[in-house]
Amino acid sequence: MKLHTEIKQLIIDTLNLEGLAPGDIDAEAPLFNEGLGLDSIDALELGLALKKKYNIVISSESSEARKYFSSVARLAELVSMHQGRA
Amino acid sequence: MVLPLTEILSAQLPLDAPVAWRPDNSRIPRRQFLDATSALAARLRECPEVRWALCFEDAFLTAVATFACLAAQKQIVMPGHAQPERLREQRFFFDALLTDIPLLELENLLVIHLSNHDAEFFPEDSFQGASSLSSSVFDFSQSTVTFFTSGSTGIPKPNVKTIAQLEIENQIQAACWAGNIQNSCITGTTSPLHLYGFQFRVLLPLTCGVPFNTELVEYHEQLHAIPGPVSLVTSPAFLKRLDPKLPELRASFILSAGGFLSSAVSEQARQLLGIAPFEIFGSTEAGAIAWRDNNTECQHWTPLPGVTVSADAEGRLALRSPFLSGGEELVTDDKVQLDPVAKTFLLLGRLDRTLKIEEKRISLPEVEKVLLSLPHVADAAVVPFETQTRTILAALLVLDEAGLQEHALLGNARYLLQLRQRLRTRLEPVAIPRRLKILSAIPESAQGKRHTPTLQAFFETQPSQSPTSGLATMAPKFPHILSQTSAAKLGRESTIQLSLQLGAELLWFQGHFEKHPILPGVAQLNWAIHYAQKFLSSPGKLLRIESLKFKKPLVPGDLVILALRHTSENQRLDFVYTLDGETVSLGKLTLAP
Repeated sequence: MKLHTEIKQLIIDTLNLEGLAPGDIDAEAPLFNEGLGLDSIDALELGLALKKKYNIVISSESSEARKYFSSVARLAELVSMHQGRA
Repeated sequence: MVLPLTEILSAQLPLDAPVAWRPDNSRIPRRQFLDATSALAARLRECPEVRWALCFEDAFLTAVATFACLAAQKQIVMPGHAQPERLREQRFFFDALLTDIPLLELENLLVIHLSNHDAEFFPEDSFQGASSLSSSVFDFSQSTVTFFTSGSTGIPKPNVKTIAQLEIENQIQAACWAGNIQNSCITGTTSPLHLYGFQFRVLLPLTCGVPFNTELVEYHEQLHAIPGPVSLVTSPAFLKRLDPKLPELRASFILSAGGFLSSAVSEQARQLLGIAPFEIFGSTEAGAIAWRDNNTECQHWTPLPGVTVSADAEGRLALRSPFLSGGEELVTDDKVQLDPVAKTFLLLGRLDRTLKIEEKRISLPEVEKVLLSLPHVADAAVVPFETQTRTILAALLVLDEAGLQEHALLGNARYLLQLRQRLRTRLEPVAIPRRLKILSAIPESAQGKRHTPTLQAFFETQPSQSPTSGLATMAPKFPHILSQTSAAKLGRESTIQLSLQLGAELLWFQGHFEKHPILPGVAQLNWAIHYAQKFLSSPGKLLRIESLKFKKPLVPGDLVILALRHTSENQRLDFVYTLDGETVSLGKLTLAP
């Protein structure tokens, strides 16, 4: 679950969640509503950071994008899928 | 073709003409729009409820709900969000709810759920809607749409617009932009539930006969899936975050509103989307006020046809507009500089305690009011704070005994997370504070005023103490003193000057910020107090910040002079940092005797 921790740290760093440790974020908890309560600006910021770090591609179909941005675990699936392909 | 709103349902137009399109590229023909509107209107006529709140994600369903309400002589209320707790607070303003959000329910309230797959509203094949509506003459003169604004008092204020008002504005907007949007697909990144999105993603496309995207675009990538030329209805929040690595697009037209675009963002949009954005300046109360075209060099805003502007001695913008009812003058909280000859103006900022964060107007008193309503919160203050990428809100709280225990148990970060979860249903996401400081009292001036820079100073980024940066704990907290004058004493005043070398290894530069380290203001404050205690024997504890000003950033390698003056009579400590003879920062402090 190294990737989970890495993505959690990326979220903490990108979104300035000061003082939070990766262990405070539940990999299955929703990022954008309950859970961390992030907003749509965060979604855009996080998208840019993930693309920069992992070269992932965000789907042009919004339901796909929403699915992967729903939790740390889903984001990790997207990243590992992409790494597997590379 | 420019239709008045009153003829959108009855106009004799081809039934297969597209009204809207879905992301899968399927078109929604006029027939379907009329069928659904007529079926919903029939259902609404059976309901005694008069005021209907609309909570939709889908722009097409927003259009159906809007025109069904109008056809059924119902009043429309736009809460502007779909958060149950905030809807409960606004319950006074509506009697029933129309929504496309599957699980949205409120106790003791009639809720009608609409979906694109609902056979009641979207029958397989029927032409009844068209025939029943085209034979009707619509009178919308008694109809209104109520929007909400966050007033500086902190209570969301309803703003009632008659259809006649919306009609006047819509006709003027159509006259301005119809030529730009013809033969394109209108697509939006802003909600159809606020005035801007409602006008430009729903009303204007129907008026001009240009099909609109039903779905909200959230990511830059999604623009690439849109077939044909795009007219984009967007805001700086989206345009600031375009991805320069994506291939270029050729948009027909870009309209941005809600905040102001910097020339850099506008230029990047021009490169990536093929055209620079037009901008609209306006508000929910005033409607659109003025526009500017970033394809030209002009930074000035030109009032829309019919709008006249003036400014008082303070620079406060006032306007008369055909989009306002009654023709009275509206005085805004925007500060402007008027060009009396060209009748244009420059915007200089806001004059009150509301601010815009990513185009959302946030009322600081409202956020404070919500914080104060939480258990264990005795006092609260909220200030805006600039991070590297955005403006956030930072909260200072005074907690009662139980609250302090909870805070100690969870630690600041997890307490903040829990606080954010509690606020989630009560505040816009961007209004939920991201930094938190617990104090025993919120500092106030002798006049009882809270001074924003003093409160902001509590949040000057502290170097990261997370385990990943283990080096930070070893890094020095104080700079190398190259030279110093001897401490001089004159009556009750003592002074000293120190010459300080700011090495890159200083703790304060770690993580503040990663690529461009600058010395945080809190370090400068900390050093002034520390050296005054050490060399002038003043008390080491801060009682009050009287004034504080940071003029220029300090970076690793800088050699600065720190001048200190301590007056023992009133425990006043004045400090000035200078770099090459120029003042970098200065402050007046009162120390605790």
